[in-house]
Amino acid sequence: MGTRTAASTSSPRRKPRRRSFVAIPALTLLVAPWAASLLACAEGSTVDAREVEIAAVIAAADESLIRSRPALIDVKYRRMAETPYNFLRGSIALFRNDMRSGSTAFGASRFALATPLVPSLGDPHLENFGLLRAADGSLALEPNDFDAADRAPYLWDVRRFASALAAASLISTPNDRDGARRVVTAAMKGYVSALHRRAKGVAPERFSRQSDSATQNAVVQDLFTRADRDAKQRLELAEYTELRDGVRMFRRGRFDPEDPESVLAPLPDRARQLIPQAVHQWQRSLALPLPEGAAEVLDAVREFGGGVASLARIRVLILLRGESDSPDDDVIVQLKELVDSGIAGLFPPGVYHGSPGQRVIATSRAAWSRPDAEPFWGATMWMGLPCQIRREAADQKSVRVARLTGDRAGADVLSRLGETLGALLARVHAAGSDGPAHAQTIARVIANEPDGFVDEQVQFALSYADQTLADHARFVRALARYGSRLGIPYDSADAPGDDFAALIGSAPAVPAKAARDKVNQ
Amino acid sequence: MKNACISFRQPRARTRFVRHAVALARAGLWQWLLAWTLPANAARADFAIAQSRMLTPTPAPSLNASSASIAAQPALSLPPLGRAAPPTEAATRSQGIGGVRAGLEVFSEYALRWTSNGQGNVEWFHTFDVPRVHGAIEGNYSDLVRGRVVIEAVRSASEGALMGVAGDSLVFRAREAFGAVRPFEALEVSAGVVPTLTVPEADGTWMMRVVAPSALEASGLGAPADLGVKARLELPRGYGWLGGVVANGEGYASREFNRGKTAEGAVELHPAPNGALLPLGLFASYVAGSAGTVSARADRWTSGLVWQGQAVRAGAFFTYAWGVRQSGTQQAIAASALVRVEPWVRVIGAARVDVHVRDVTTGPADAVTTAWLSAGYRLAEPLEVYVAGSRAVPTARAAAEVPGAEAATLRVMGRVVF
Repeated sequence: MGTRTAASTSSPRRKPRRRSFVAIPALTLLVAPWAASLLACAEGSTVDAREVEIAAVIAAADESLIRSRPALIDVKYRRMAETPYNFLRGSIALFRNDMRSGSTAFGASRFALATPLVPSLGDPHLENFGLLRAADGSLALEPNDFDAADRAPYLWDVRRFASALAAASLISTPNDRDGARRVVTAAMKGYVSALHRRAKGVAPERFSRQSDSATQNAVVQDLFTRADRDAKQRLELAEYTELRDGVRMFRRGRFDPEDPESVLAPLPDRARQLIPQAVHQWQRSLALPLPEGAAEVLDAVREFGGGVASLARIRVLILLRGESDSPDDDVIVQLKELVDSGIAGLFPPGVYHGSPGQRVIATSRAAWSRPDAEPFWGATMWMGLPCQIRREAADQKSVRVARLTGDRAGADVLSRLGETLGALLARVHAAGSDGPAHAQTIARVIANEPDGFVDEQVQFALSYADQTLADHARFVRALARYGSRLGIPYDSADAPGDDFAALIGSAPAVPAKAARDKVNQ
Repeated sequence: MKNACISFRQPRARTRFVRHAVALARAGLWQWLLAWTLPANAARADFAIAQSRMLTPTPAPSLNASSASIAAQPALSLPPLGRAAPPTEAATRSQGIGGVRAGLEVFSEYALRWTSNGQGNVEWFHTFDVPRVHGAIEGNYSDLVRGRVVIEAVRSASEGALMGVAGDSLVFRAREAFGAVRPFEALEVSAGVVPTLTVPEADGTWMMRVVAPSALEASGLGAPADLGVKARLELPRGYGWLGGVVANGEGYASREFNRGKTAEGAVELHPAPNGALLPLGLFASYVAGSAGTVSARADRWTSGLVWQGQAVRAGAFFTYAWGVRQSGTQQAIAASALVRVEPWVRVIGAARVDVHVRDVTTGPADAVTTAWLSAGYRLAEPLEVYVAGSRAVPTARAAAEVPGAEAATLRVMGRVVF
């Protein structure tokens, strides 16, 4: 035994030395931890724990943006602070944390399934659904945001959708809790019903103008009506562009009086020069080829201020020549920087797509009723960034919670909307070649207790909607307490290089309130 | 040995490496039988020497080799007696040149995994991977000062992200990088990226990091290294050690987010260091920490009972955590019972059971129980091979929160360390 050697090579034996002058401070280090621990515990002990958690979770999710684009993230957080629904839109990271971390019991369910991981929208809240115009010119209600889309457990999508619907209902008709319950119940029944149809092999439904969902639903009808109106007028051309000597160009500066933070700004030269190359690559990703010469780049500008969740991402508006030489058929597309979904990596293999662009293309075309539901939707690389490009058109209307007023509000209207969107979500989960098999697996676990499934999701949705409304207030307090960096320390090394800094740009200075009011008048 | 190789007739397709490994195994078996026929202590000592002759690099030495050539061969490494193994073992096994040692530690594996949804739907996946690639260099400038740097390979895009460095390439980062001063024999103070105290204790007691990291690390409740200052004092006459660390608290893979510093104090006592109970130890540590931008509480209490022998190593560790990741109010438990045996030299067996209670305070139960069983064999001094199986069973809530938690794995692993 004695001749065996140890796994590690310890330092050779040394003669004892007297070095008390070093030993004393060294021994102090052994005591220092306990003193330091007292200091660590003292900080933050009086702050609402949930407020702390909200700030920490959002800061962790946005860390790279906070470090590299602090001005843009400041605009995003101010926008999230404006309304509870904006907060919901910008806080998908918090929802996922609540579902996954165990810090709350919101993730518990009798109907969870780890497998299969189904095509998922990732963030299916109301405003991520809207009208898309297909290649044949027809409009249909489709999911229209795939920033967070990936393969995920079906229940996360269902619960995000249900809780967003409950929150929208409570926001549009406050104090009508029974109404919100009816809305979510209808949505869940719509989901289950559509899923069972897919499990039996029934073809997925397309929610077009002629479908029952459109004719019987005030919210969807409103979308189609406004889309028709704006399509005729090509409002997007009027809003974003102007004619100079017969040539259409983007306006520069503020273009929306109601939104002083929305600004079109010039692109840096290098970035503008690479736009045609990006457009060329984008064309190869499209479901259908564009007509010859229909993708010539006429102009491009940096867009600030759009959206909420992806507000700090780089967006560029590109003006493309239409099929004719007339400026009236020019097309505007929006290029937006893509990032990871934030869901992947659950268990091996963990990733199901080769790049963020492939992720968006694969998921969107599976989720839509037809692959060419938005024929301009594709992916590209630009300035080393993965990006998506889609048509920017006034007729592609999204559901807006702010418009759930008057005859577009109330439990009956929202119930029908919820039923439609629930069915649409089921269609997404059952998409692809494995779709019917996925639908059968999900249907089986629900079939054990169909009413229990609906009841559980309704209970969750109402509880989480309450939590979201309360969390909005906490987020506002956290912003006041920690600032828009949410506690991320400043480090000069985080500043991007000159080229990238020019590309990111700076958020436009928001005019003083008086000037803003004047503009709005 | 050489003759054995020559006379060992096998099909030509068999590689030279396999022929050599089989020959070594046959020789080992003979030595094992011999060892059990002799009085235990003498036999084990002789056995170790004999084994050291066997486990030399190709060409294998003859059993009749001269004593000079025997002395030149590296001795067989065995677990350290009465203490934990180093947290990273690269560059700890050789004497080096001029006080400077360089080394590697590489885990390579083939893993087959079945993931269940608890409803009869099972998906499988298999992959080759390198869970650990360490390169290290360590040097003693004098009796007083030493330095150590360990770099490790990691995936550039974690958690299934698509956007990393050159796709999702393996890239290198610093795992340890510190300078240390030893003002007197028993005390070492180090600063830089230093190993912490609790996770290395658990890993170093089990010495089967190739099979799984410690429960504390696997559950995300502890980091094996951090940026900070560490002091470790060896107690007299082998009674154990005590140490303290003041560090950022975010682990070595992240920058500091807050002004609060994390303090860790730990002690390991060996109550009977002079007899057969030398391997018996009691371990306790407390981490008073803060995590994230808002200094969420991250305190951990860990206690453990360990047996750090050479043939048998075992331990039971219990950690209670106040604060998990960004939630300062979440409380969790990580408990682990483990055993590692070397019934015969070259042969290693290990078993472990972990229970990770993800949320102690709110129902329903939120826990994942995982069990491992592993067997390994030393093919040659720096090369070990293992086969390991594991099974993880979550509660219903944990299954909903952690998709893929219910799983079984079968892995074949190789480990090279010198």
